[in-house]
Amino acid sequence: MILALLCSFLPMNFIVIAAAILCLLHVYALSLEAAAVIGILFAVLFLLYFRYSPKDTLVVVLLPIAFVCKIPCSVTLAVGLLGTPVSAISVACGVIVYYALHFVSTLSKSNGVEISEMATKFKSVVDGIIGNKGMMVAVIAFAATVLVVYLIRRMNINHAWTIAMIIGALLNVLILFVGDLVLTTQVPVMGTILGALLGFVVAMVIKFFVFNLDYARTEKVQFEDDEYYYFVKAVPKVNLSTSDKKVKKVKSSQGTGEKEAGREKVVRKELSARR
Amino acid sequence: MLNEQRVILMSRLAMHEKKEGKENKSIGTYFRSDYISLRLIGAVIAATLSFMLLFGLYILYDSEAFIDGLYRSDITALIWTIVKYFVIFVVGYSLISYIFFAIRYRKARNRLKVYFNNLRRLQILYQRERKEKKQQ
Repeated sequence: MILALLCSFLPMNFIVIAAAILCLLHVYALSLEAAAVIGILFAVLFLLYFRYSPKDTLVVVLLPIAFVCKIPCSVTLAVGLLGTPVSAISVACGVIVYYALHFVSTLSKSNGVEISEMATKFKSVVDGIIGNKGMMVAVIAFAATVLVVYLIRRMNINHAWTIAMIIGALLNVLILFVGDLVLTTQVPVMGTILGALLGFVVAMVIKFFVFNLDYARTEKVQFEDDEYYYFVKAVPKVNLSTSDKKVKKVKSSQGTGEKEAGREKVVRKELSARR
Repeated sequence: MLNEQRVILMSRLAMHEKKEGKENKSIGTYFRSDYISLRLIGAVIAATLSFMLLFGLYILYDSEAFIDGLYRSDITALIWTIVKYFVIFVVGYSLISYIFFAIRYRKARNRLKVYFNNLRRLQILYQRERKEKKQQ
């Protein structure tokens, strides 16, 4: 409770550190060996990647939560829409963290006697995490989804964001199913499809707030000069893609209607060629 | 009277200061080579620590095989193999870090240029206003 209160007003990265420490303490309660493996995993992730992109650390917290809620696709689509291609690494890290913690939690649920035997062996814990084929497939599926969504939403086409979300969700489901067929990762069919659909709905909501109105980039700033105090709320304009421009007919007569339409096509072609 | 152009400029400046201003300013105090080499030192340390952690995990993972290997095989050859992997790991990571920090430095410098340009424009606006007031 106190930790949640602290997280509410301390910087965003504190949530990640607090969550990591809390996870480690819980895993330590299960076994020292598992805690050591998870600790090394967290340390390596922090040292090698999150030192450079502290903004992406939240994905590592959100993705395991989304996995528990059965909607990991939502976070992936959101990252693809709002992030950069590098965010695919953050998503991959999030997937690895979830599967590592999931493995430890299944150990705790499975059998009390077995836990103490298994946990004393590093080998079994490491094998359980690294040898998890489902994790490998999920890492590839979610990282590929982020990249594809990013690439499509940057394309100069109408409804790029919606197309990106649809193709991203489909690709995610497809890779997970192909992975299941090839490596028998036991992916729940209905769960995955429903998760992708729910993810799509969540992504649509994000799109509404970010793309149409762009409230996400609203800035409230305060400054002063010799005469005034300024309290400015700046809402950025929505950037319309060039394809949204339309050529309007200024003059048209009944007899020359077809010619005008032809000219319009030529102008559109020229415009698209210039772009 | 409120000067709209001035408010826009001041808002842009304030937004820059609020969002990425501190980071850009700190990057702007370095020469490119100094900034990148400092960050590379950090990257080498991070890579070394990570390698040590992963190597430690490997030993714990298969300690029996590792100890057997120590007794059976040539120790110098084993050390050379470890050093080879270490160098590959550190050099690879440092190369990625170099590219990353070079791009970050370039972007920060460009943003600072825009920021100082806006500052100059604001100053010109102020000077113009003062002149107009004096004339009145």
